[in-house]
Amino acid sequence: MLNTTDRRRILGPANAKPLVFDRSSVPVEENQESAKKSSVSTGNDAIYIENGIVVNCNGSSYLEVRSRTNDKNCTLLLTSIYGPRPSRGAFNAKATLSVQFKEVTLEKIAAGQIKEICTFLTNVFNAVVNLERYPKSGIDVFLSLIHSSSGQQDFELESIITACVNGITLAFVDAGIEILDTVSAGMYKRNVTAFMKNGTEVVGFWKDDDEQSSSENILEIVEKCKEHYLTNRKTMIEFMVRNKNASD
Amino acid sequence: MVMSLTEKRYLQECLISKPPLRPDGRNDDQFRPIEVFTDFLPTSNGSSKIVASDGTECVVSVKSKVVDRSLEDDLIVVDVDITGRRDDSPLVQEIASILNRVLLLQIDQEQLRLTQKYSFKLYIDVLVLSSYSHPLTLISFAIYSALNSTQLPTLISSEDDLDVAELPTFHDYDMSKLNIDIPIMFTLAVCGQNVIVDPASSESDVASNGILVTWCKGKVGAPIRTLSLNEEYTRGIHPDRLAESIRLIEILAPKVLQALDG
Repeated sequence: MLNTTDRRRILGPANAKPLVFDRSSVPVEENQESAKKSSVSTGNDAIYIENGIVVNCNGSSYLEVRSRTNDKNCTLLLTSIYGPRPSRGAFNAKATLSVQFKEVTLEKIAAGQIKEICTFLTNVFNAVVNLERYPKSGIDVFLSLIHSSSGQQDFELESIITACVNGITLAFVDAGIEILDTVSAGMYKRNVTAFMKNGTEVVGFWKDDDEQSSSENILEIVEKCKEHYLTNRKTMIEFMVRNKNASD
Repeated sequence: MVMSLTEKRYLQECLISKPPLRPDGRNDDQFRPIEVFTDFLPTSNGSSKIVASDGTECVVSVKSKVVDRSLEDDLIVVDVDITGRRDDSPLVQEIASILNRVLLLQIDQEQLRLTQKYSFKLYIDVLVLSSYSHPLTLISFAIYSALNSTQLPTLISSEDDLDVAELPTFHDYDMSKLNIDIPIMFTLAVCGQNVIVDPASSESDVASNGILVTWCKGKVGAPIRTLSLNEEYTRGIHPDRLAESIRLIEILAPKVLQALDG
């Protein structure tokens, strides 16, 4: 695969073909297209996932999240990943990760807040992507928020961040870039926690408003987020397994 | 200071050990010594300069303006300028955005009310002259000191001006002290099982993750979040570290405020 080329070594001839094993024993899936899409209902939200919509990038994911508790809360997010692509200049032993966030329809979020989200997500995925694997490279993540609405207000930043974390993980899987674990985020009231390693490690915590949960202990909040994380992660893994089975 | 891989590894091992061995010999809950000067800019309502022992220096000036409350939504505006960084760099924009929101969220805008119609609007200008570590803690200390030393003109006209079309008039010399609850923010670094406060630049370079904790009105409040201190050593942390950092700030914040007030 092109995107996992090891640039530390001299490459083989340009016309070399990857080794392909005979897969004739695997039964051919009749309906591949329908299996690629997934609409799964979890305890809290209804999530629709689709992979590989953007054709010119290395990996992409499309996510539609509708909250079960608040019918008006809906987020549509398209994530595309370009890279690892060679970076020029000084030698870097590790890949550099960058996250760009853009609202492609209505611009409702302040520019400063978008920067905050970007640095937060970069920090989360710096801990998650196996960057040592890709020296002298850059990995660029582009998030396009197509739609976001919430009942009481124009948008709910926390549900957007949750969707971003889940969308980026799915896009990394689609791109075939090594990640240490299936990272996913869970939301409770207006707190977001991104977990890895089955909920034992926190890679990102975001609490911006304590009106609703000021009296609650932080560990209780994290525990509540973890429940949401586990359902989200289950949905994502189910989708990935189904997708894999369909493509085999 | 740029460190070699071996130096970083050594420092990381030191900080992970229990108790952490910090390069400047501090305890995990100890801040660097800081020097604070207040009220030295004659043309602003309040000002402060803060110098940390590593040479990080930050100047804050507070200016005020009388505005019609029905026309202005946000009564506090923060502008951040960090020497050596572009205004559109992620760090500058992130810090400005966090500060703007924290001050608007935690400060009761009623406290800036002048009359029924008019309010003071505060313009807080932050200038970081030199910064070697994540400057957020120092900036927030400087803002706290500047707002604490802010003097606003005393109103002599009537407070009830809903029916009368009159502009507020002020006393010629008398100033009254601005009385508001000011939030302060702390950055903490997580190194393995340890949480250390006020990380120096070398400590930030090898920290597993950073945590931002806000203290306002006598308790820990929003925002609380994980913060990027470096790109190389970022790792996931145990949820207990979050609780531990909040516990640490609950003990330290009153002492820090006492020191800043003194």
